[in-house]
Amino acid sequence: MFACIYIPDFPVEAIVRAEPLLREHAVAVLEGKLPLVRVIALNERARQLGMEIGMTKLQAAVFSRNPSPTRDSIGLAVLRQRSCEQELSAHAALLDVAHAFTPRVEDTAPDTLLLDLVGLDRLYGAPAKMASDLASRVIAVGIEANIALAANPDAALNAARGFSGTTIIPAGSEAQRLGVLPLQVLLDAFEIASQKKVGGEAPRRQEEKLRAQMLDTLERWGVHDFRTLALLPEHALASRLGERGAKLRRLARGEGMRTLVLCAPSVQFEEAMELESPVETIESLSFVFVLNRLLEQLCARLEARALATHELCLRLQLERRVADEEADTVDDLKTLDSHNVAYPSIFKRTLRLPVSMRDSKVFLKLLQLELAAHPPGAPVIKLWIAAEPAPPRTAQRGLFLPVTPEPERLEITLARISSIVGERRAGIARLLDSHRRESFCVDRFALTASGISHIASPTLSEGNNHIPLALRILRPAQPLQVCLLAGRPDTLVLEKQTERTKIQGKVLWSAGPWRSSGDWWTEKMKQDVAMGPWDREEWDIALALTSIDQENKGDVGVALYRIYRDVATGNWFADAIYD
Amino acid sequence: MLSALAGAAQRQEVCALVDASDSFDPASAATAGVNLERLLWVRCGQPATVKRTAGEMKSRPTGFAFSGVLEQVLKVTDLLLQSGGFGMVVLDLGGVPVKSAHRVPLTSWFRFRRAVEPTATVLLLIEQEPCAKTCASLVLRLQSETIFVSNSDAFDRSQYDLRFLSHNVGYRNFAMNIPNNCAVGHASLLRGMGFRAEMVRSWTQRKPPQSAGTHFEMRTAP
Repeated sequence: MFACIYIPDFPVEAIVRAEPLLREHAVAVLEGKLPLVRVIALNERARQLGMEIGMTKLQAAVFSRNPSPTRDSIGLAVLRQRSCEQELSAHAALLDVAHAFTPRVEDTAPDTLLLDLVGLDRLYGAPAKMASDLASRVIAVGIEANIALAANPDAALNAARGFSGTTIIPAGSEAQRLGVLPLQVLLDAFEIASQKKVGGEAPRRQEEKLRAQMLDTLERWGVHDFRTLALLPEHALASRLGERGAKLRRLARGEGMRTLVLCAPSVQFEEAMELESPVETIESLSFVFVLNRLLEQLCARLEARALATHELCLRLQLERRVADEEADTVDDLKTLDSHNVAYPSIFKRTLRLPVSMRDSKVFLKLLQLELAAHPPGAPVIKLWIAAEPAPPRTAQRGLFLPVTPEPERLEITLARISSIVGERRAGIARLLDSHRRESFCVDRFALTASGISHIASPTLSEGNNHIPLALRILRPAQPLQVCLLAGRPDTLVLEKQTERTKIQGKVLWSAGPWRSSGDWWTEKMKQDVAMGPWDREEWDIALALTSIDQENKGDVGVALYRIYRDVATGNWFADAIYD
Repeated sequence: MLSALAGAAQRQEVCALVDASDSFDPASAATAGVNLERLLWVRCGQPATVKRTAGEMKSRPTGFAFSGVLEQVLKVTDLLLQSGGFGMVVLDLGGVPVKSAHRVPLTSWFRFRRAVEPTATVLLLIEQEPCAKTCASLVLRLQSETIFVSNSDAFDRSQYDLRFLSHNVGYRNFAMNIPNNCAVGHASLLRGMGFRAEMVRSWTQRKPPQSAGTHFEMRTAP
């Protein structure tokens, strides 16, 4: 048993897939350069309006501008430019569906796929069940297609091209069922069935000419459908039309068997859309709708292949700005670049997810937050979204383990927090292997299995009353003015007293200095204070705490601080408070 | 705070620390037994920078009407509590002046209380003076009392309660076991601090608790 998936009016269907609201409208697809823009594809509603393939843009525009008094807005034709990206996306989605159904798939044409269903009846059931299952999967990716099942691939191909909806032809009744189809369908399918790869413009015209001649000949003979052609004697037909005639007769009778040319499943998941007009504000509803639609299509494709993604890549093609056009020379462009005025034509953002996900709403929110944090800076005219496929999450939590944040919600929460406090200011602190103070970096927060390991810690609950001493770091270090007595800090005062830190007074106790230095060999990083060389003398000091109550001023206790002297500059700084 | 986080780490809970004054020391936390891989550290205090227009960088809170650190803290806490799944969310307002902390509207604390009530999340607030008022289920007052040092140079012992290890036989053995490469403090001289903890108010019991207090000590890490 073989199945054929055929998408009638493929260019229209590719556009309607991206804009589902157009399904209720008459849609015509235009192609070409002015003034030779012509209609290349129509849907059924457009045909009912009287539109035809080959119309010029002006002729087609009549149907979109001047509605008749009896015609409502739905009756107006919608004209769209052909989009190769959307056609490629629709074709890729169709391939995903087919490969999810069976591994034996022939990529016959952009709008046609042939599937080998031999042996799948035990998995999917009877042919009728298989056909309905296949149809529902195709609809799930936003495409309406004709589906036909037959005993041989060519019969399935002709049935899918000739009959709309789902068709099942039992073995042995191919000639009877296909007999009513017009001869035009056979000639269209014949080129695909014979696997002719016509390259170049001249051979294609020659092929079309031959086909027109054959159709004319057959019509002059009174052959208008499959049944009439199937009744013609084979030898007589071959002697007049050659090998091509004999093949046509076999196809019309639904006979013959050929081997499918199988294709490998694609690992590239990308959706694209070209916008009708440039979108300036990414917060606009139209842009959000487009983004949402593309993400839904992408997730549907991933779901069809039982996959998820751990990386999303968004590319935006930006409209050239006036600032770029005003830059006459290369130097001007460099100057503009330094001020972030000149934008690249492609704006790219990548979302790396800690776990694989497949929720379009989560992706939409994450992309919105990402674009809000990093606006493209110029109107968007085209966008692509690509997903890196990954196996879906299969981890199962234990019943008695504590609840952890849901990964999808956690990602959105982290993105929102980053938009509030800034990038790289929320995450996991990772200590670095260095003697430098403050030697840590902030990594992305992700719940991994390694973080669940049990760590023994000294806590009061264990009966250990000696809790490790902790530091409260002053970031950045506060400059101090220190008076020394016999080489030890005697009194100190903050150079800039703030409401937050009030460090001043006589030093009650001091211990030190502890000298440390390092990274003096890193010449390149000397400009970077945080990562450059350091050389410091550290002191632990005790200061008397004064009451915050203005009426009862006086010492209320002792506070311990860690201060240091930068040996290179001789300046003193307050580094931390012992807490 | 670090002890509470370390306890949560032992229970394999995921914790979040909203650091209002950006004063958290990861080295101290690691020494105290906090599992840093399960701790989300949010460093407030620096507004997010957003590229708004070509050619200029505007520094402002992103898209929202945040004007200060406290607004960031409240917003972040709200998001964390709404997200759910955290075993403990710690708000460290210890470095925020009391006057500023008191400016936080009481409705915010009520909202947080309502958010954590039906969940297993513990919301721990570290501050200089209690400002959550009646929204807090348990209020503990911690006060430093003692500093343990190992020499008496330039220190007036009569005025402050400092214990000198050289005069205390009990601590001398302890001092001998401490290596010099301490992770946090300079252990050769500074030994630790003594604290007094007092329960001020508790709603976690049906009857109001009697005044309870305890002493505990924090030592430089071995």
